[in-house]
Order: sequence, then C-alpha cells, then structure tokens
Amino acid sequence: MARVLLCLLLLVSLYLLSVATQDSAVFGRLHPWLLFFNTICLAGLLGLIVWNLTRLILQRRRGQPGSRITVRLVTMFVILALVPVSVVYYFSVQFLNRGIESWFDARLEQQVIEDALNLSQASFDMRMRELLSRMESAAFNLGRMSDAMAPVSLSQLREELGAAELTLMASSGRIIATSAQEPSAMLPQRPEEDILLQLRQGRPYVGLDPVGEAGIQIRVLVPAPGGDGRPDQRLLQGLFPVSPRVNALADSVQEAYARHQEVGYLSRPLQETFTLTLSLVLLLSVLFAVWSAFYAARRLVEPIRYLAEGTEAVAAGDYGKQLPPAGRDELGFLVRSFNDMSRRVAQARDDARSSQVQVESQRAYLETVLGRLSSGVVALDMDGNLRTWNRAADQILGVPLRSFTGKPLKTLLGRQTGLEAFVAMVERRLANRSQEWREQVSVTGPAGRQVLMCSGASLPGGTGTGGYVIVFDDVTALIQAQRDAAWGEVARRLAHEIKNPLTPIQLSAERLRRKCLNVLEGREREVLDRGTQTIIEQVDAMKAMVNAFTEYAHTPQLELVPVDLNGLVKQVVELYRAGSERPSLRLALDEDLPLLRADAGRLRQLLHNLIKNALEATLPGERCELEISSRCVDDERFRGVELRLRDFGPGFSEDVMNHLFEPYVTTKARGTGLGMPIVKKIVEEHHGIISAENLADGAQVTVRLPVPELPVQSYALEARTDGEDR
Amino acid sequence: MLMAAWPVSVLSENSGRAGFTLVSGNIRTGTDVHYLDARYDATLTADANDALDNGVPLTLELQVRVTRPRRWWWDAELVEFSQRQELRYHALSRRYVVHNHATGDRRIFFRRDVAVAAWSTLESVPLLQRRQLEHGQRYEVEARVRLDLDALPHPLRTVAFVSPEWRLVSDWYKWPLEG
Repeated sequence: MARVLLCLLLLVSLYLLSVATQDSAVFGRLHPWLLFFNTICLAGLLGLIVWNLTRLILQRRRGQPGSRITVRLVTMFVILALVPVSVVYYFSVQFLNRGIESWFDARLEQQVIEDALNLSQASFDMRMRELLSRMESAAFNLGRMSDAMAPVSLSQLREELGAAELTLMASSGRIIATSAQEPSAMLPQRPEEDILLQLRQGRPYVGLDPVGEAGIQIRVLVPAPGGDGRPDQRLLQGLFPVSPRVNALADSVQEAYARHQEVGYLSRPLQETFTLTLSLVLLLSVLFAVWSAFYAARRLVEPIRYLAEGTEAVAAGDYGKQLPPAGRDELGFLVRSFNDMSRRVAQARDDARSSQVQVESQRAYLETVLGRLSSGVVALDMDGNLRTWNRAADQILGVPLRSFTGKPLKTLLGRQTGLEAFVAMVERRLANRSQEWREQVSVTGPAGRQVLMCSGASLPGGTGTGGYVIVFDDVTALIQAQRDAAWGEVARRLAHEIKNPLTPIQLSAERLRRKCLNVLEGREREVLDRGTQTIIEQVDAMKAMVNAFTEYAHTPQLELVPVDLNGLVKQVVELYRAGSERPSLRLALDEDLPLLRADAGRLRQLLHNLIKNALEATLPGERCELEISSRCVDDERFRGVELRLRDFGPGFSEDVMNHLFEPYVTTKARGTGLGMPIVKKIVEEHHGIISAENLADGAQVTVRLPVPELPVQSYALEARTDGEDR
Repeated sequence: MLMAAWPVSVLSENSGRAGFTLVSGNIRTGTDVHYLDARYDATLTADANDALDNGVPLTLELQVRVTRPRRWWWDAELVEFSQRQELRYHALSRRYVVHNHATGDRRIFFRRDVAVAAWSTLESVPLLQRRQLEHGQRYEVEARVRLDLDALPHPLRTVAFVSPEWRLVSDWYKWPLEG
C-alpha cells in the first residue's frame, strides 16, 4: 500500500514538474520547490536502493537460499530498465539542446530588431540634437534675465521651444523658476545626481526619459549663465513630449527588443532547467525502476526461498512444515503442493508412531500374560536362536535366559549341563521340521531331577517373524504325586491283605512245631524243625516288610519343634562310629546354621536311612567313606538349610536314577527298598527338596529344608535339650 | 524632530563579497509615523550584471520587522512587511530605471553605478504609527534587503535558486526604538 502511495506521489510530483517546466503561471512558482522535493525523493530512493543492495550482498555472503536468483533477477531488471531509458535520455537531451538553440538562433529576426532599435535611437538622436541646440540658444538668452524675472520669461520661452515643462534651477539643483504646459503639474522633478554631475563639468545633457505609462519624453539640460552675467551658475531643463504615434512605435520597438534580448539571454538557463528537470525525472524513474526491481525480485523469489527452506526442513526430519501462501500462480501452486505433501508425510509419520505404540502395548500385554504363565515359553527363530522367553522358563530351566538372547539353544549347556536332554530334543525336532509335537523329557535342574512336558509348534512367517515356540511344564511333582499315591495304595493293600494271614501262619507253624517236634524223631524231626523255623523266620521277615510298607504308607502326625540340624547329625554319626562297620565319616558343618522347625524323630530317621543307604551301597570288602556337609542357603529361589551326603562308592546306576525315590528300587541284596522313598517322604513332609546325582567318584544326595520366615530362637533351648535327650 | 540611531549590528562584515551591506540607516520619527532610511552598498555578481544588461529586471526586497522583546517568551511582533524596488535597463533610451513598487516612483539614470546606488537606497519607508507603540516601552526594528528571486523570469528562477551567484542578501540589522 505504502509502495503504491509512494509511486503515485512520485508520478504526481513528476507531472507537476513537467507542467511547471512549461511555464505555467501557477506551477511556475512551484518549480524550484518541486525540484527540491523530487531531489529529496531521489535521495530517499537512493537510500532505499543502497539498503536493499547491502541486504542482498549480506544475504548472498551468508548463502541464504534464493539470494543467487535474486541477484540475477535484479541485474536483469536493472539492465532492462536502464538501457531503454538511457537511450531515450540521450536523444532527449540532444533534441532539447538543438531545439532550443535553433529556436533562439533566429539571426535574421535579431538583426531586424537591433536595426529597428538603432533606427529609433538615430531618429531620437536627431531630434535630441535639434532640441539641444535650441535649448542652448535659449539658455544663452536667459543670461540677461534675472532670477526674479525668470518665471515670466520661462513661460514665454517654453512656448517658443514647444517644451512640456521648462525649469530654471541653480547648479545645485535648486529650482528657481518653472513653467509647465499642464498647470496642474506637480513640482518639477529634480534631475538626478549623475546629470547634475555632468552639467557641473560644463557638458549639457540630453536623453530620453522612459516615464512609465506616459511613454517617452526628451529631457535636455543645459548650463545657463547667471543673472549677473556669470556663466554656468544656473541650469535650464526642458522636458519635451514625443508625439503619441512615435511614442507608441518607440514603445513597441523597446518592448520587442527587450523581449527578444531577454529570451535570448534566458535560453541558456531554460536549457539548463529543462535538462535538469529531464535528468531528475530520468533519475527518479531509473531509481524507482531499480528499487522496484529489488521488490519484484524479492516477491518473485520469496516462494522459491520458502520452498528451499521447507525442503531443507523436511530433509532434516521436520515433517509437517507449512509454507506461507504465495499467490495463485504456478509458484503458488508449487507451494500449495509442498504444504500438502508435507502434511501427508507428517500424517504418515504420526500413523506409524501410533501403530508402533499399539504394537508396543500389545507386546507388553503379551509379555505380561506370558510372564504370569506357570508354563515355560521359549521362542526360537528360524535358525534355532533364542528370541523370546518368559519368567517361568527362567525358573524351570534354572538359567537366566536374558543373557542367551540371539544365541543358539546349545549355549545353555555351558551354564547348565543338566539341560542336555531338553536341548537335544528341541534340536532334533527343529531338524525334523516338526509342525506340532509333544514330548516328555527329564532334565537335571537346580531342584534336581525334573520331568518336563514339552510341546512345540512352528510359528508362521518368514525369516524375520517365523520360528518355533516351545511350551514346557515341570510335571515332576505331578508324576511323583501320582506315583506316591499309587505306592501308598499298594502299601495299604499289602498291609491289609498280607499282614492278616501272616499271624495265623506263624501261630500255626509254632503250634505245629510245639506239638510235633517232641513227637517226631530223627530225620522227620530235623525236617520239621527246619521247616517250621524257616516259616516263622520268613513270616517275621514278611511282617517286618509289611510293617515297613505300612509305615511308608502311613503319614504320622508331625511334632514340629525347633531343631538344630548340626546337633542331630552329630548324634547320629556318633552311633555309627561306634558301630561294627566303622565307616570313615567326615563332617563339614556350618556352625551358623539357623534352627529348623521340624520333627526331630523323622529327621533322625532320615539321617539313619541316608547313612545306611550309603553304607549298604559300599562294595564288600571296602571301607565306607562318607562326607556330610551342611550350609545355609539364601537365594531368591530357596531359603533354608542344605545337607549333603557324599559317598565314594559306585554311584547310582542309570536305571535306578529315574526311580530312585520309588519303593522297591534297590541294587542291594539287603534292605526293603524303602530307604530312599521314606527319606523323600520325610523331606516332602517338611516341604523340602531332595535330589541325587552321580559324581565322578561316587554319588551325592542333597536335601534342602526350608527355615520358617520368623526366627525360632525362643525354641532354641528346648530343641537342644530335646536333641540331647535322644 | 530627527532621531538618528546607528544600527547595533556590526557593519561591513562582508564588504568584499557580492551582496548588500548597510552603509547608513536610521529610524526617523515624523509627526505620526516612524520612518526607516537605509542605504545599502550593492555589489552585483557577474551573473546579475549580465542579466541586467540583457533586460532582465532585478528586484530588491526590503524585509522589515518591528518587535517588542520579551524576556521569557518569543518577541512580540508588531509589524512585518516587505517593500520592493526594481532596477531595469531601458535599451531604447539607454537608461536605467529604478521603480519603487510601494510609492510608484520612477527614477531614471544614465550611469549604472548611480542607478544601482539609488536602487539599493530606501528612504522614508513608513514603519508604523507612533500610537502603535506604548510609551516607555523598548522595541526593536530589524531589516534586511535581498535580491528577490521570485521576481526573476521563470527559466532563470530555478537556476537562481540553485546557484550561489544569485544569493544576494544582507545581514539582518537592528535598531532600537523607544515608545
């Protein structure tokens, strides 16, 4: 808006300047002021251009986008504006100079006017000379006339001479007497100093007086002798009119000459004025054009600059950048398209983000669900490397799976060798590319031997997403419970079905012996004796066996008291040291063991059974070596007391290992085969864990018994006493 | 009744330069009116002389101000006016005509120096009525003369505005005046 106003102002000012130059009465007076105003405008425009130029140079140095094209456009516009204007200016100035020169160079006219003037002057000169001589003679006659008589004589003389006014004055200019044709005439004019000066030098004066509207009159002054005869004491001035016709002609000649002279003289300033005005107009136009070039270039380049900046921003990751609108032309269309594109890119980015968030939440959901599962879940990729797992898998396998992510399952064996069967099974399934499978496998975990029920399936998808998932449950406890229940049933049946007939059998055998032994003699007596003896002994043995079963099947009421395990171990070991077999018993007991809350009698039986089992496993002829150690365990999975019995015998055979804690599993000639099952039963009654394993030179049984959450110090004294009593 | 007073300002500072310099000037008190008589020494530049020779009339403008000085405020202005006197060469009669626009007087000279001297002399310029002044009050009369560029012919005017050759002006001179 301001630009348009400025433009209009400049145009108006230039128009006024042009009008003023054409000698208009109104604007003529304004001309210098218009020139001044336009010069100010010129300075303002120049300042604007310098400012724009400086800005452009700075932008170019900074390498601002669009500055290069701005420079090119400005240069182009300026050249486009300058060349035609300069050509027009050159020819205008040439034309102006020659035109004005030729207008005023009318030599013939000048000559005519000068001749007319000279002619007029010559004509007046003749008349003036004549009047002078007449005046001189009249003045001579005045010599005889005194000052007092002068007025009368003058009047007469004036009429003789034909003068309009005749005045006699002293040499100082003081009027002595005067006579005028018009009685109403005012006091005669005193001659000017230059005339008086000339007369004082004795020279008469004659000349034309241009007296304004009255036209021209001839003034003649001659020295007149004084009244007393002295010469040059007085002056006689005569004013002679010129005929109206001559007056008019003289006026015309004077007017024409003056005008011609003035115009000729003024041609140079006029030319200068025109040139000045033209130059100013040209300069203003050019500067305005240059300034407009800057403006136009900037307007044109602005959308391009925006686009460049916008592209840079998008390249730098600032999606969604919106550029200011840039009109309705092709550039505007480009800017609109850019804005559209940028908006869509930003929208796509936001969509991607939200779907990522969705995926993350689903993943977290899945992880939570998996984490809460009691079944272990392990996912493998196509190459058999570990991808995902849950906490239950960690616990069941006893390995922190996090550190094995992305590694083959085989690497687990470096940490937990007991998982070999599991790993081998999985690898076999993977190699067979089984789609769905289900298999039971037993491994040795941190809690000893475990039976895992595994099921697997291949996951859909390609290299990135596909793979396998294996779900496994620790079914050890389940199987054991099933077996325990079965064996309990067996034991009860045995007790019921077998024990009952045993007593009559024994009684009958004893009766038979008592009745018949004394009756028979010789060989019959010996057979009977041996036969009944065998029956009674075997029935006793059977009874003992059935009792053992009964005991196994029967779950006694536990008397839970604080128990010092170390003390108990020492007591039992002492008994064996005194025994006939004299085994080598080494103790490595942790003295800081916490008190257990347990049934001391059952624990004693446990120890007996374990020691006995070890002794029985010793090969005949070898001395039994036994190492008993205890320690306190406190980790996240178990908190309690651990007791280890290690022998250096042949170890458990592979067959026995799977059913070690089941009744009637024995490798020994002696024994009921219930030692280890009872041990296990006691451990389980105390919520403990038992495990057995073969070492390089013998076997080791580990019993873990939990300690209660609350300390049991209050029972300590009682426990010790109790322990010592037994 | 003649009250003569010399101007307070320093005289003839620029006598060497073209322009106008006050030679003599005084305030004259008539019966009812105060008059200013001022005679300036005019030195014309070559351009001005040239223009005069070519029939261009030169106009002298006398600018006069009568003020009452005030101590804490701008001076109160009683009268302000200007008077013009024209000098022109009459080619036919080869005479210089000095024409006072205020009085209409026309004086004719055949010598140029005398004509210029008459042109730059202004006598009996009425300033103001005596009754316009308060008795006992002090007043100041300020005056200067300059070549009136606005009176020049139009083509010359633009050049005259720009060129220093045409800047013919006297200083302001001050005369005290008692009421």
